[in-house]
Amino acid sequence: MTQWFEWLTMGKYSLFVWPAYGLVCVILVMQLLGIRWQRRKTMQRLQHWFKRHQ
Amino acid sequence: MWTFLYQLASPKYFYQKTGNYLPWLGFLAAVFLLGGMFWGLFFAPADYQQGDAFRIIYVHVPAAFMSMAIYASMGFLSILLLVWRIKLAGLMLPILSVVGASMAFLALVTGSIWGKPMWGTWWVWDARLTSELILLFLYSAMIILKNSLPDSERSERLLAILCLVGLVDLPIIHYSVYWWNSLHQGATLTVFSKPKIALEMLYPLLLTLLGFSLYCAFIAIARARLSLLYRERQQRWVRELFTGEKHDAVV
Repeated sequence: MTQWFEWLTMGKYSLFVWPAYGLVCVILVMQLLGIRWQRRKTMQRLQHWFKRHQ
Repeated sequence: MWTFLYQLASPKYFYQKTGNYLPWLGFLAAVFLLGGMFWGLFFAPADYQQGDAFRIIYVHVPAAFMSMAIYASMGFLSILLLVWRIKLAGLMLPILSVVGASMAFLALVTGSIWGKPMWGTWWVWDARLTSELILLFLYSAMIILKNSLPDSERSERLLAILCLVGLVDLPIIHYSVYWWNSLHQGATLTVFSKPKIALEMLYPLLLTLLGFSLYCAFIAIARARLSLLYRERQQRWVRELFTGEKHDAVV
C-alpha cells in the first residue's frame, strides 16, 4: 500500500507528471474521436452526393 | 521499393492497400504506446538528479520528435506535389499539418510542465523553445490557410510552398542547443553516438517513440482514406464501394 502511494505521488512531482500524461492521453483520444466524426461526416456527404447524382 | 511507392500514389491502390494494414497499424500503435508508457511509469528507475519528474521524457521526447519528423515528411510530400504533381501528396499535407500541430503543442506543453520543477519556470525565450513554438505557428498557419481557401489544387500548392519555406526551422530546432547557450539539455539520442541515457530508461523511450510514430501514421492514413473517398467520389471504384454490395466495407 505504501509502495503504491509512493508511486502515485511520483516523489514530489505528481502535480507535474500526471497532468503531462493526462494531457497527452486526452489529445491522442481526441484525434481518434476526430476520425469517427470525420467518417460520419464523409458518409453523410457521400450519401447526399450519390442521391443527387443518381 | 520505388514501384511500391509509385503504385501507392494511385488513389484506388492506396485506399485498398492501406485498408488491409490499418487495423494492424492501430493495434501495434496501441501496444507500443501503452507498453512504453506503462514501462516508463512503473519500471524505469527514477533519475538520480531529476527524480520521478524525468518520467515526462516518455511523452515529451516522442511528441517533439514527431512534430519535427512530420514536418520533414510534409517537406518531402510538398516536393512530390510541386515537382511531380502527385495528388495524394497534396491530400496528405493538410491532414499531416493537424497531426503535426498536435504533436508540437504536446511537446511544448509537456516540456513546460517538465521545466517548472527543473528550471523553476514554465517558459523561457530560449532558442529551442522558441524555434519549437515557431514550428507550432507554421503548422497553425497551414491549417488556417487550408481552411480559408476553397478545396483546390491551388490551395494545396500554396500549402506546399509555405511548408518548404518553413523547413528552415527544422535544423534551427535541432542545432539550437549547440549553437546558443540554452537551458534545454542536449539531444538524449543521436544516430551515430552511444546514447547518454541508461538502458533501463532507454528501452521504454524507444517503445513510446515507436508507438507515437505508428499512432501518427495511423491517424494520418485513416483521415487520408476518408478525404480520398470524398475527393474521388466521381470515380467508378468509389461508386461501387458506396452504392454496391460492398457498402459495409467502405471504411
